[in-house]
Amino acid sequence: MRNIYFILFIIFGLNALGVGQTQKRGEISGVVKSVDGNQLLPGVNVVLKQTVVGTITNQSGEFTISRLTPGEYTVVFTLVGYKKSEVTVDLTEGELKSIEVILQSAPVQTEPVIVTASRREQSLQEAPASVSLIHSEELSARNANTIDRVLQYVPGVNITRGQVNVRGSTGYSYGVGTRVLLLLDGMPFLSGDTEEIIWESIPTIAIDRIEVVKGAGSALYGSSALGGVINVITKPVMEEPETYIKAYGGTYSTPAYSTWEWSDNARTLSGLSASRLQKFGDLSVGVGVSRTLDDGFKRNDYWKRWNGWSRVGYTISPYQSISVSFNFMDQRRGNFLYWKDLDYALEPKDDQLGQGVHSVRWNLTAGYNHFLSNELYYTVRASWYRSDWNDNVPSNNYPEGSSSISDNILLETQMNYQMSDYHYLTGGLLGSFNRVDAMKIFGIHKARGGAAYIQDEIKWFSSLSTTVGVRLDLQKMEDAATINRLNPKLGIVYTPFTALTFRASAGSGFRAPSVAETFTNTDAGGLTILPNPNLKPERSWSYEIGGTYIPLQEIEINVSGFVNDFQDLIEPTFGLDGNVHFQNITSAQISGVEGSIGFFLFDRGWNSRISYTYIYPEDLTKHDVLKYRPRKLFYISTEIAPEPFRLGIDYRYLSRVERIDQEFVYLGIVPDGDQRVPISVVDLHASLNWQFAGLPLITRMNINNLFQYYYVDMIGNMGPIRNYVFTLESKF
Amino acid sequence: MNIKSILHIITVIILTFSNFGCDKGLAPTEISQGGGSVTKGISGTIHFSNWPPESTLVDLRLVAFKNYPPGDIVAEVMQGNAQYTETLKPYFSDSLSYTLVLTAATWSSIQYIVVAQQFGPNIQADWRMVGVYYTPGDSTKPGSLNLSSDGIIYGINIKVDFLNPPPAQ
Repeated sequence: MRNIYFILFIIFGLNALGVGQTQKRGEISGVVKSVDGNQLLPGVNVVLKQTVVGTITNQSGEFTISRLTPGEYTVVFTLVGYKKSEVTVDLTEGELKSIEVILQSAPVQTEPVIVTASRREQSLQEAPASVSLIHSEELSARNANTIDRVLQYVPGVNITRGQVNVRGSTGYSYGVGTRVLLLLDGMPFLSGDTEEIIWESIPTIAIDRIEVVKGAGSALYGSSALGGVINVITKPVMEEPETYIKAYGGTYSTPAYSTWEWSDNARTLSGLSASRLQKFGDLSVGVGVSRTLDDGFKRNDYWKRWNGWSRVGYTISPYQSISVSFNFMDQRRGNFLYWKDLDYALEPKDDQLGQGVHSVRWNLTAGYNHFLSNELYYTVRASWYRSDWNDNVPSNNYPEGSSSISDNILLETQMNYQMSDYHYLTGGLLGSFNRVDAMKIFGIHKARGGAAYIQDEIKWFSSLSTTVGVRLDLQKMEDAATINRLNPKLGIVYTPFTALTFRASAGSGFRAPSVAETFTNTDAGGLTILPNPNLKPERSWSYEIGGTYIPLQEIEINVSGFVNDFQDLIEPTFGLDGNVHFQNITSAQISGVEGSIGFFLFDRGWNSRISYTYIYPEDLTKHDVLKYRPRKLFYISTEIAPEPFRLGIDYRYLSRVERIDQEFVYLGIVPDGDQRVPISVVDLHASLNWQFAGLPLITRMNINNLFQYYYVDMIGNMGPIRNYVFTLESKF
Repeated sequence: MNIKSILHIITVIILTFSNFGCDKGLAPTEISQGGGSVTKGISGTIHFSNWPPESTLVDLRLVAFKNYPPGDIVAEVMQGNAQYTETLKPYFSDSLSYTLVLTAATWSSIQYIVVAQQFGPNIQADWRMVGVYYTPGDSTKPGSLNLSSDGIIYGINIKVDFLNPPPAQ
């Protein structure tokens, strides 16, 4: 708490001291139009180059950037589908300058700006790796309460019972450790004990966009980035205040088979969310809260959740800003491990009834950004992620259940230096501290670490650029040997002409074992899990070649081939003593191809994307396929948007998983556990925007699993059955 | 985009995606096996004597082996060469009836049938045989069963004396 007071003191103290206020402030405002028919353009990104200041245009195409000190500013205007435009404005003291900007349609689709692939802003086309983007509209359209709901439509990505796979990287690791790193605004966002992704902790109403970078990313992001990096970027606060309210309610269908019916009551899901974003001079404030409830279509699989978030930002000057954000989640959910058997597929074994988990997780992040000059920019950030859970799942030693409290604290500084228009240097230093207090299951442990990275990007010609980078990570957990890993990367981007880009990359990744994998000591359900303090980090190398071709404004084609080599993969294994240990046992190679084609027809009134990923996940240790990896992923998403209506359909096909943990079946732990089929699911969404009637209201209808297809997404766990959700959404 | 184009597009989308709705995926066992026709299995009664203390009765199952002599029980189960019943309960009964429906319908015979007791917490190691199905009239030779035709074979009865378990194989 004292830290918060300190930060507030800095914010308001600086204000009181008049930092950046010695001169009367000026303002740049204006309107942005398209060259075709002078159409007003909403949603245009307006940024003052080499400053921390920016906004977007409102529905009337207008923007205002106020409280500017005198000087020369370059205002940059970007919008997908239009050419980037830059306007230089010379602002004198107290001057209110108004400009009109005309954007020209781009001959090919202008690539959106991303920040994850190289830790700096760059166009998608410049990135040396495969990157997919998800915009907040896609979360709203699918009524996604957690982002894994939309990640499952990203080419090459699939979710196995909440664990994310990028091109087959993770498989299923029983909730301990992930081979895809999740970032929240660029900072790692993994729980300290299990180092897993807690999707529910991220409030979806705060999200602006999500960037998915495929392939090893440890050369920039360190541990866990073996298979890819997912960066969730939250909404900025704009000049115009914004209030957002969303309410939804829905119900699950009755199962088609009578033996699967376990309740006479309708199984419902509902939620209410509200947020407010507003600027007060140089101070920007955002707050939001959500309450969501789900009865669950499976017995004892309910959840009740509170989410809250807040953000305070202060623009000290056009070149300096400071921000503090806070996320909070309180959740109670039932415990559904496995079904009773296939005849009672939506009910757990009787001993699981009444079992549940209560978790409280929060995250506090503070950051400071500073442009020292037009070329040099640095940022300092700190984050603290607290995870606190307790359950009533009995083990032999602790019949009352287990609990865990963990703190993951990170401090990092990053510098971006633009040496010339053709040369970027990015570097940073990090420190981390992790503390776990979980006497009943993991023990009490502390770990600390540090890292340093540097990346050099050079544009040799207008058509050719290279990226070279390396990162050194050191991690030390109590008496265990220090882990030190050097992870290099190399990327090449070749653009022979505007519509065509080739890229090639190679990079290494690693994942330090989590506290849960190293120290779990428990027994339940006939299985005893014992610690293994000798675990080594997992290692990987990723190689990719690919290209993007945009022959017309209406078509975008992406193709890539990849090979990922993994060493020392950690898996739970039955030992000779009959107990389960986590061990470094598997070497693997996952190779494959991925292709996607996007159509943007009728002036973007009908948008479609079809993607196909084929992977060959080879377990080199057992000369078999890797567990829990479908070989084929085939996704189709299409949306037709004749204003004010929108109608969209998503289809997912994942081939049948060939190999699972057969021990669970043979030992009778999961009756009918080997029952599985390909996944073939259609989701539908439709909406009506009432703006035509003068109402700031959107009504939505979602039908998920439209054709009521029954499948397991993990041994003995049915995927969601058909559900209908009706949503009211208002932004004003 | 005019109304006609929109209707055309919606028609194409619906026709395309409706093809994905033909298969329903998983179904309960009875339905997925076409009305619940049983293929192969065994049934009988197990007679018990000299029950041990309850603390040593972690689990008790009848196990049918495809091959004889079998290897380690757990290893055979994990290789798919052995199948077993649910836990035989209630404990301390004089006799219990059982039915084991084989999920591997490709077995042409069962070479060895035992009752196995898990006496400790180690699910892999703490097992012992406490009863064996013998050839009728010959209590020295384990009985085998031919499964050439469908249906349940009844009368596969076994005696279990916890104080005098059969010799290890």
